[in-house]
Amino acid sequence: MSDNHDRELAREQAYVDGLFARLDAEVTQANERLAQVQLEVDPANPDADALIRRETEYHGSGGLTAFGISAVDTALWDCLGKSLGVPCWALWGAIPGALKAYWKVNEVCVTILMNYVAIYFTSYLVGNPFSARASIPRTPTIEESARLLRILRPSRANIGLFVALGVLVLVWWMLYHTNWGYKLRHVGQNPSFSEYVGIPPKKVMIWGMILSGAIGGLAGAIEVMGIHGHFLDNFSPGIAFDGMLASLIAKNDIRMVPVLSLFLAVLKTGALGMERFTGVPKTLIDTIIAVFILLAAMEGLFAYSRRRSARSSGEEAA
Amino acid sequence: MDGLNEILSLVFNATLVRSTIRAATPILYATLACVLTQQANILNIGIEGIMIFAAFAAVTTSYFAGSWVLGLLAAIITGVVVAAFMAFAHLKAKADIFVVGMGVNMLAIAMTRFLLQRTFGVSGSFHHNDIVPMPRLNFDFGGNALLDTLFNDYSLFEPVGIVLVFVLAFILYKTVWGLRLRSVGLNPLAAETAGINVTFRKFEVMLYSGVLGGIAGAHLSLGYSRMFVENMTNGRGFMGVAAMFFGGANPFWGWIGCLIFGFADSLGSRLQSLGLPSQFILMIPYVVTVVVLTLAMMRKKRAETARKSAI
Repeated sequence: MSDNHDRELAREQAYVDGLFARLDAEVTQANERLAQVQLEVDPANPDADALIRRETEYHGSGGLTAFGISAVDTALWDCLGKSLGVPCWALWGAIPGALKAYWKVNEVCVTILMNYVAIYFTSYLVGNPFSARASIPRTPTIEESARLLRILRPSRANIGLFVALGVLVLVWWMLYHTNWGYKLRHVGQNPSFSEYVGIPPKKVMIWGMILSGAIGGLAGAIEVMGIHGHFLDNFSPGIAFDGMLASLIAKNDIRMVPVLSLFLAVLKTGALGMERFTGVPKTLIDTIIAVFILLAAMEGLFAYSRRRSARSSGEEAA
Repeated sequence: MDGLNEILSLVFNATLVRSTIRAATPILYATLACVLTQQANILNIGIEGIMIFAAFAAVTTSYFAGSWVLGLLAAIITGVVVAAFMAFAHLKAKADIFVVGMGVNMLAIAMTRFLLQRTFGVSGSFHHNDIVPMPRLNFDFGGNALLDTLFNDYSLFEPVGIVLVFVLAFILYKTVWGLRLRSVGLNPLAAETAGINVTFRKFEVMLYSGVLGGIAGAHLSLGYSRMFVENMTNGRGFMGVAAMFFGGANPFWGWIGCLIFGFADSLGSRLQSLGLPSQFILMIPYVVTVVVLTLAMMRKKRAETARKSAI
């Protein structure tokens, strides 16, 4: 009995080691990408940013932390230096992941509360140790060489857009064409069964959250290095939530993610113009988006959505 | 040593009790709303949105009608309508309750912001002398200072919340209705077999949770404060969800959880006078909530493991 158990443990250990090695490689890769991006250049377009966050959401449970992470990360990113960024954002994502995996703590609750922690913490950092002593709380502006390259001037668009598309493809490839992605989806559908066939659901969940956190950190970095050039206190006006909404509407179908991100970005951008020229408050757009999501979520409401619900009912059963 | 004593007596005194209750009450109503739905196995993550809607309805009605009773009624009606919509979306239109809840939360923030601009022409916050707050309870203790601090000047719904904890516990654990409700949450198939209309029960508790959420919002804007601020719940709904998990859907333990969060909150605001950076003070309730929730779930997990190995 105990032999059996030991063997199983050893096998699991070997598997986990392999998984970690691969993940490490992947994280390093993402990191290198970022480092490269940072070396080369500069700026972000809201679309790009939204895209990235959207992907973050793809991991399902993970997304909300993205906001928190991007906030913390970016504070560290341009203040403390590049090396600290990676472990920091990944750890922030790991906290709810681990809590969920080991003790079944509700991740929605934890991530939302942790958003507040991140906002206040960065607010402290920006206000005190890293303040630029300007009239608004912000950090000193980062080096010109560290900014993302702008495209399509005079818009704020930047090569962050291409980074986002790259990440999109990467995530799609990882999820559907790697062993690891298969396991992640497997755990999402049925953790108990995964455990039974030898996939450690806890480890997979935590790594899913860590990667989700990493992408969230990337989004924050692009926002800061691309658009602002410094860390503004509480800079993200719910961009991560928009991302979450996009993934909710897409029902975790990654092919829909870029389309919906673009759709939301168009709505948001149009809202600014609408307010300026017609005086209609742009909050109306947020209201419309929320209504849109609620309607999209109600699968049984319209007959045409039956096809879709048949496809996703498998996911929901999990 | 004297200095330390001075600090301690500044932080820990009779007013700490009341500020704890004060801070805990809005969370408590959210907790009770969640407890009720959780007993029927619905995680009411949209309680935050219900509270925001209700708070706005309460302030608006109180301002225009000049009566806190009407404000409260409007808040409750709003809460019930939102909850009914959530129940319809979840139970009839087969939407994921988490998606609906988050959708309602976003809708609440966006829509109240929009209505605030349209109705009052202000953005951010609205306060006005015409807003009639809820009455405060005052008794005559013959000038006894300690009793006065401990028992006087509570907003109406602060003591009512405590009473509701026991009422809800009684209903859930001592009445037939409560037993049936819990059976719906524990095993819907068995409940259905026993002749209970599961969908109807779930719909019913969602409406009641809307009532509680409505009171929570009205208390927040008319009792706890006397204004409406954008996103004024500030995560209190989620703290309520956390307190519900802390108490394992038991109203009494959920209340204890709320008191812990309220205590952390009011302790923090006292420490601010000692010169700690304000951001760390503001962070305290959230950190404490996450930590306490985790500890509670760890304990639960350990108890479950122990039970399993005993078999």
